Amino acid sequence: MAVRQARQKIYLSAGQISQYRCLARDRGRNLPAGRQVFEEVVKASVEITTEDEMSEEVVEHQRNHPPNNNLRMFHFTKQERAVLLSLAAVVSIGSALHVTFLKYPELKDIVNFADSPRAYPKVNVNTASAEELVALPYIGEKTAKNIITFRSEHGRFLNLEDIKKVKGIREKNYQIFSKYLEAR
Amino acid sequence: MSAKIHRPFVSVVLCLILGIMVGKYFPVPGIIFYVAIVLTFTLAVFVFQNAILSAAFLSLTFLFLGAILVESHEALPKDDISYEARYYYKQPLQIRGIVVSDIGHKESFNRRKINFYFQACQIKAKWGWKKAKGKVLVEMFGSPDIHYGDELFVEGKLHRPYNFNHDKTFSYRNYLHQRGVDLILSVKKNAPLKVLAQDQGNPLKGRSLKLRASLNAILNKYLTPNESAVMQAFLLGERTNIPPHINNLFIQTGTAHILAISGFNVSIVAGLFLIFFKLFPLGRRSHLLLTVFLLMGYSFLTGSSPSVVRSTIMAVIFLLSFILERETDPLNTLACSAFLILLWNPLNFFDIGFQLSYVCVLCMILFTPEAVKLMSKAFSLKEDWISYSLSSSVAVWLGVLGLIAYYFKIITPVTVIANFIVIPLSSMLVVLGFGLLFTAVVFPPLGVFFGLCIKISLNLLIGLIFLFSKIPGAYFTLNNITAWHVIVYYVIVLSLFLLWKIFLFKSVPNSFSEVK
Repeated sequence: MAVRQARQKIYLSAGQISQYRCLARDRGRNLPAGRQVFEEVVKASVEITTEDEMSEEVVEHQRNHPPNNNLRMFHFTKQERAVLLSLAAVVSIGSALHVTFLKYPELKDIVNFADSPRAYPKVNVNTASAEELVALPYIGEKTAKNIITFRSEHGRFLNLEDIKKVKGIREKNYQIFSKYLEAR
Repeated sequence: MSAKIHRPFVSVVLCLILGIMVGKYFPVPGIIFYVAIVLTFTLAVFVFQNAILSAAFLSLTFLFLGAILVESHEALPKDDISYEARYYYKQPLQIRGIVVSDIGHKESFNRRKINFYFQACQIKAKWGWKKAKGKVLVEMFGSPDIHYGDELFVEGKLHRPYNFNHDKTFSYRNYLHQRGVDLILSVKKNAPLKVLAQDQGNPLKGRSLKLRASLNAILNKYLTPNESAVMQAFLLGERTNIPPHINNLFIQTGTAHILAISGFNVSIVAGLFLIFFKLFPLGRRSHLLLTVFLLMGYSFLTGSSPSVVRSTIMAVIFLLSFILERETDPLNTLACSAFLILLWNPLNFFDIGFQLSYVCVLCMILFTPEAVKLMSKAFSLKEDWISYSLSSSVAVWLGVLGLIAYYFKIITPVTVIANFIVIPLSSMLVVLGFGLLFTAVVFPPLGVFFGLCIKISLNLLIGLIFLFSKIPGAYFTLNNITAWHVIVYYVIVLSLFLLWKIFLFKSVPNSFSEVK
């Protein structure tokens, strides 16, 4: 006997769905493609335990819910709705952004965080510890040690360019790591 | 249904891993393992009818198999180039071979330094050309016009990889050794270099690298350099172009995992393929099979790192279960993927990416349900998607904390909150990214809209990560973390987990029937 469980969602595995589809086909009933019919049966809170009852339940459901061909052009499956909604969102947001950036180019610079200097974590070269300096890109242990030694011998860096006086720091590597440093 | 779940791969892979560790760390002559495996295999067959004894000998067989795999993987042929290297120490050596990887750019000196893996075929000895096999890493300055599959004649100095880092947890030499490379060929700026032939490599790999380059070009066209670099990591597994300061932001907030292709990306890709194939009247099995093949192709395209291969194998098994009408078990599937990866290359076990990837998924499978129960009991939360997301984040963070502290010397408490926001954003970026790649080819005007949506979302993501990194106590660095600290940490975590399970069992006995 079929057991009715009020509004309880029952998961049907892919294996079970295939089984039920084969059973229905054996009895000469062609079920429409997709999980929708089965999900609707499940949502009607029926737990199917026997082959015969399953077929009867599905057929009864089809009898009670005949397809309306006039409305089929407005009938979307769940996945079709999701895809169309996503596409509509992307196109509308993209169009709005396109127009906004054309009218106000400075907004594009504000939005562009990844390529702006704001994303660089600036470390104060006058107070940074060796660990903080080593954590920065392109500064190794030796360079960090030299910076701290120079700082202890000659005092604070008044200008970031003064860091080029440190042993081992040339113009080439200064250009690379100077964007991560500041002299305050 | 209360059938017991059968997980044969779990015990097999555990024995294999134990065997790999024995083979790596215990310098025992290989013949002993070969004799042992023959013995245990014979006994396993002999007592086949006895389930327990046969399983015991079978486990031992796989244990010795792990050791044998390590030995066979590290064995070198007699004409391997590493045997010749000692005769040419600090002398220029001419080598003929084939480029077997994409050309990489090193992040120093304005990216004029390139490197690539080179499969040697011949070396020039004093008396002429001599056969020599083996893979070397070539490093050179300049931007010569060379590509994957080119047969080259090159001159440079062969040497072992240097370990500049004093940190014992990471060895560049071991890192290269896991990839089958034991030597580096340093080529000077004006050294002789000649392309002898082209397209000598694997044609499939050559096509996938060309496809990857064209997809990179699409991202470079619609996005700024740094945006394109991050999207290349999300979609194609290419992380080398990400600037260090942005990479550091992800590490400091514990969100660097989203830059690696993993199960998350693969599941989105599989979902997109399945939706796309619904356009074609092929039937469900054909859709699933096509998705399986395309996932394998995607894994190949993104470089086949352990995390990608793991998630691809798990996704393929899951999809095949629909075709074969079998139920799947996440733990057994995970173990199966580990088994296949370790059979291919047992040294993958020592790869940081492999360890993090598997520990992460294991924590999600084992600890997330318990974390949900704990949170609902402790904070009276409903068991909905919010508590599941939060619990999953906490479970994974606790699980990988030990490994992250050991390898990267950093602990990131802000990870739990950061992941809650970063993961949905990154999933949206992956979908938008694939949309951009598709529309840029099929219908370019639509690509502009996808590009702009990516720009907003990606900069929002990086901005949020930047803000998270500025929170006091977001991360702190550690020194002097040894393997023993990590072992003790995991013993404590597992003990607490077992105590929690015992407490749960004693306090609410019916909870086990609910779990089932």
